[in-house]
Amino acid sequence: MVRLGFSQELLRLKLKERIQASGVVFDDLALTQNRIADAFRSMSLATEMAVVVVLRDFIPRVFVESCMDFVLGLDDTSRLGWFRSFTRTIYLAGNPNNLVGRFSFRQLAKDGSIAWSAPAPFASSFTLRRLLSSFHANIPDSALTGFETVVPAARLSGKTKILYVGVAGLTGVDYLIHLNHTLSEGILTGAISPGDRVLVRAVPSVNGCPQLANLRVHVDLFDGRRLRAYAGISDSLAQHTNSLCD
Amino acid sequence: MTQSPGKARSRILLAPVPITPTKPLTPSHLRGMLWVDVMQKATAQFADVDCLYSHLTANGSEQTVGFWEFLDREVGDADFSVHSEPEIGELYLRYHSQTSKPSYSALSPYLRAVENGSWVHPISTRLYQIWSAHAVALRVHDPGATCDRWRAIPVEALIQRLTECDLCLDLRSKGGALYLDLTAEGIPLRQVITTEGHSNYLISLLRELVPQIQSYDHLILIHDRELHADYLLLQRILMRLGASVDRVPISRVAIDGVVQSTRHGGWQGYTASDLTSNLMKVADLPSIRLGMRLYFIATLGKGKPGSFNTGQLERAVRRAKSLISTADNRDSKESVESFLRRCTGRNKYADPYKVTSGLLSKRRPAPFPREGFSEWYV
Repeated sequence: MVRLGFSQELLRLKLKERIQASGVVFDDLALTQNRIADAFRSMSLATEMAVVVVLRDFIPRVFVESCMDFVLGLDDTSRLGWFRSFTRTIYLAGNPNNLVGRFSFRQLAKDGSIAWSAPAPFASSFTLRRLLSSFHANIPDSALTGFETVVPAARLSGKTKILYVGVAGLTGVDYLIHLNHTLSEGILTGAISPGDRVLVRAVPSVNGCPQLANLRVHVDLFDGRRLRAYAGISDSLAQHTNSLCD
Repeated sequence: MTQSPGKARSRILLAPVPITPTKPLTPSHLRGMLWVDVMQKATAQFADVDCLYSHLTANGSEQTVGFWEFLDREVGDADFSVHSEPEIGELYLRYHSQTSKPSYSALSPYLRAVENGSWVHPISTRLYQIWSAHAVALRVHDPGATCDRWRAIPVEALIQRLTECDLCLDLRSKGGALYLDLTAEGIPLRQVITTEGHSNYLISLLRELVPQIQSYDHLILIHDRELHADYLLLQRILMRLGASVDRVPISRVAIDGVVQSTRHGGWQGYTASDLTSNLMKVADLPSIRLGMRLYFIATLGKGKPGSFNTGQLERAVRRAKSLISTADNRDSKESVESFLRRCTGRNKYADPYKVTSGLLSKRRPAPFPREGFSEWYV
């Protein structure tokens, strides 16, 4: 029988798999008993590596392309440290032009509108965080329309991946968060590879796209006692014309 | 003051922090007004000095329009023509004791009226009348006097100018806010326009100051010490736009040992009306004018002043009376020009503290300003 959505049980399983992939100890029982807040609280990381992204504008395609450049440019140690830290990222409003003199960034978007700092202990970004403000915006129209890009490589792979983000109830920053985690971890785990064509699509909820893999699962913003799948990656277009998406 | 032949006088613009027309004038306000007045008159002896008192900022601030909206909603129609400063102060305290803030749409008509310059709430008209009377009595610049010379540039024109110099971060079209951006100098982002499009007082000040940059050699920003961070930001932005800018911070005056913003009260019995009416019982106007300057500038000094002390103020007024009566016998060999040059030093302006304490100095008596004879002090 074809699944028509993600059961809470399945989401718990996926979340557990992700936590275990980070090698982090957590309260499994709390998660099983749907005490989700307790489960998250129980997770502690020895050294958390965080990335700071500075944005002076909000163009999702520019964000995606600079994100891909950033992740592909990381060395193995950074990749592992950041993955283990659940690709923790802080989003700040700021103009990279005004910051490059004082701060060293790992990656700058081609148009200079986005800057990424290398994964580092959270405390090390204190000065930057104090100087800038949290990023706040609405989800841009281009995100809702959808767009496409190619993962940088010498040649095309011939494969297409579709990244879905479920946007119901999300702020602009929420959209960035779920998009970033899914895209970054997709590249880090090989679900998305250099040369792949990537279509980024917004749907109200990815629960309507039950064939997705690499699910991004977190607390449901509408009800803290539930889990919700916010994003995921699909292998092919063909699979999805048969499902409830697109 | 004579300059070398052919050398033009400096053109200086003083920009004191505007007082919102919502509350009584307290000792802190008086101190600020007298400080600016002494600075202006003394500096005008050797430079061309103008004073930009921004009504756009005073009337358009959230405090002011919020107060007006509160009055129309909670008090309704009333005749404010005989309200006293303390009575208005009590209403202001009631306004600030509210727990919820008015919505931006509720404030819109008031903000629009200030922008057009077409309407002022009668309570503020009344306050400006009261302040005008104080200004005349004390011979200081009248905060109620409007000036057509200052034309604010539109908000969007200001933003364009700032954007060209990477001095602002504008996320409004993306549903975010607008920030002043001096992060290149290590100063944190400062939000100045909200997501809904509401501008704060820094935008109003910049709208009036930026178009004046090319008309003056120096801008002097006079402000409360408490607004240090914002005024530092303003100074740096104006400098990046080509101005030469100095800041003069002035500390607030404590009452009974407490320094607080007018919205928290504590000024009852110490308003400008209270002080002047009490002093008028014991002294004449010339002594009060001079005495207030001696007290608020020299006695309270430059740094953190002590608590307001009626006894000390009265002593200063008596001293003033004595100085005036012995003016003719005063043995000062120094010319006004030389004295003021001493009080200016490396600054662009005459330091009111040096000028005032110079007048009191017995060791090296400064030339004495005679009322009606010279206007370099009172």
